[in-house]
Amino acid sequence: MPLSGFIQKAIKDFLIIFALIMIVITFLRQIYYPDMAFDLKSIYIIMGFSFLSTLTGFILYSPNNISDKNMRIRMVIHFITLEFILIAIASVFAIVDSVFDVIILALQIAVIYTLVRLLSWQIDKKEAQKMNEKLKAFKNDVI
Amino acid sequence: MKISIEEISKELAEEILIRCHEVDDEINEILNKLKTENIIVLGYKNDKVHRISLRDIYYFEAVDGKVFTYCRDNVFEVKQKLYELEEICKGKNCFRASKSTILNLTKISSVYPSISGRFEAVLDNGERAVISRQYVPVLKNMLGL
Repeated sequence: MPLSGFIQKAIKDFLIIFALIMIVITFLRQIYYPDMAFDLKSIYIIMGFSFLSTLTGFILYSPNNISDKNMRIRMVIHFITLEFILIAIASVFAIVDSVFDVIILALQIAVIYTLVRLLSWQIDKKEAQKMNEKLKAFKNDVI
Repeated sequence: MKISIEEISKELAEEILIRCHEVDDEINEILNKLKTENIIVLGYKNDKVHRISLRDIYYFEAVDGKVFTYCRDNVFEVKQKLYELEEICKGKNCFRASKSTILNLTKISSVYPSISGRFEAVLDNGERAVISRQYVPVLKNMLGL
């Protein structure tokens, strides 16, 4: 994939991550802190987190063809880097100040990471299904 | 459309004649199919040269500066570069699936997504080939999606 294409994808990923965090936090606040207001600082922090997590996506970028195994290894490295950076920044901003908070944040990151991957995979599955239907019709026509 | 086959003597050259009211999409499609049948690629294996019809080729792959053509059970080296083969196969149901491969669409059995974010094509002989995300739109376009 050319770099420009990868950057476009990174922007899309940033928006998906940001939107998902906002949705999840909105629902959680609705349940646990319904009277608490969203301040601008919180939104900027979430935006910053989303941006940094998107930047780590460059770990997955390669201008050359790479094997499926290589890609999976990169995904593991990507996930670990993401956890490390986000927890480190959360500590700097004093969002987490105990081991329990760190574990909760790590779990949240893991859940969102999994959700994004699953959503992306589901979209791909639908696309593949459409292609397979057309492929079947095409092969019936050609052969 | 009526289809007629006339057997001729060995002395006469074989030919295909299409009698139509006008050359429309259907006729062009038939022509494309006929032309696909006629494309021959020279494959090299064990100091022997083989004439391989495009309809028998599953995919081309570039490995370490060499280009290979993969048939059902055999692999041959070809002397053309991948971009040259891409040009030769243009409009013949073949497409660039990644930087190093050209797939024959007629040999793809199914397509499925990989959890690592890419697509894989399962070929009629059970082999699998990666389709890079950037070439998925090309495949979709060929399939009319």
